[in-house]
Amino acid sequence: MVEELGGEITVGVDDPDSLAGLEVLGYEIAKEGTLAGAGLADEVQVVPAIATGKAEGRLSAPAMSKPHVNVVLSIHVPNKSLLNPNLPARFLLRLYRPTALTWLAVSPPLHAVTPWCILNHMVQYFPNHFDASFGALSDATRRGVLEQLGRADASITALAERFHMTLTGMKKHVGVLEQAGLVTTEKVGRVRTCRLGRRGLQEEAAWIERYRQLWSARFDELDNVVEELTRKERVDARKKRT
Amino acid sequence: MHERREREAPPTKNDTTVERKSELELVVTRTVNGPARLVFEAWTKAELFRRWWVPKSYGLTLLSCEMDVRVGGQYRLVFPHEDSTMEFFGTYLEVTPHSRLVWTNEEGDDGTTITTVTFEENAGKTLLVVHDLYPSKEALDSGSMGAMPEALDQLDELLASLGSSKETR
Repeated sequence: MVEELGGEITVGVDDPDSLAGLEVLGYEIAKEGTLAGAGLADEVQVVPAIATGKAEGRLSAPAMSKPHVNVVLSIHVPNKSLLNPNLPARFLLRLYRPTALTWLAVSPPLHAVTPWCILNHMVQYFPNHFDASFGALSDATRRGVLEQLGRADASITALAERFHMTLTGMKKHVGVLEQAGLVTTEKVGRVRTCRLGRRGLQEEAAWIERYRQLWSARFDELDNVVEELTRKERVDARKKRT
Repeated sequence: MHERREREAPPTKNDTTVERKSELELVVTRTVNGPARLVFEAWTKAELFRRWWVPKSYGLTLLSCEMDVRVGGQYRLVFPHEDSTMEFFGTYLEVTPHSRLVWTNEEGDDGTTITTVTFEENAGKTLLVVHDLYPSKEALDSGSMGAMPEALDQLDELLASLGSSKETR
């Protein structure tokens, strides 16, 4: 049985056209209070491949300094037992754009979500830099620079060498990343040092967290195997004694 | 015997930590409730290994799992991937019973990642440290860090690439 849920996400963008190609990839449900920053806590239940929703942007009154777009999402839930109305839950909407960035949007806690019909929830989006991020991440070199900075801060000169570019070329790339809030730079003496901005760190943290989750799940299964071996060994020892 | 069983503490889940030690190294640690002897067994017997390496919750099944755990021996894990399969394979470089396993991950295009697992027993529990050493920044870039924007798109893809120890590649 397919249930349909809808939600609204408000994002700040300069150009509503930038929403073309935006897709909902899936959603995740976490128990309230278990969200760990941009990463996801253990308890998050991942429901993959339900990404049938299409985001459609429409401009709403630009009450804020930046035009706002309300994105209305419809999400198909193949099995409503995935959402337990007795459990306080949060919706995590993961949006995806083919050319670039993935980010998370988090809904307010959904309490007792019944009946199973259209919800209209305002979903808070981690603030802005939306559009700039897309552009910034559309370039392979710039993605490389972010990856590099994910491991260590670096000077523009070092980055230029690493990516076989002129200093001027690298400055441009760093400028784009900086504008998108992905990178911050600081000039000390004659050296300009680049480091990941908050945004990049979130991505980094999210990646590590996903990796950790895999291992955590794996080790939980390992626990079961080892427990079984331990039990078996005890039974065998007992048999020997008798 | 019965009394002893009752006295046992209920099993608790231990924390898993992941740390990027350097540009080329990723380290995962976790304590498992059990002696190193048995934990080692679970890492080195294919029929046990395949039961936990791919967590049930990820909905993937290993098609096959062959492990010849001795120095110079090979392993090969086969996963379903879209319409075909994906294989992870390599060679055991060190096999020290109950304390240390080292193997290569040779399926990648960027060179060989080396995985070292140490088993350290303390008071009936075993501290596991899984250390991945990548051949180059590029290898890490193309694999684990490639996960940055794109790898979120398909959970199964992520899993397939994470599916074996080297996963990160």
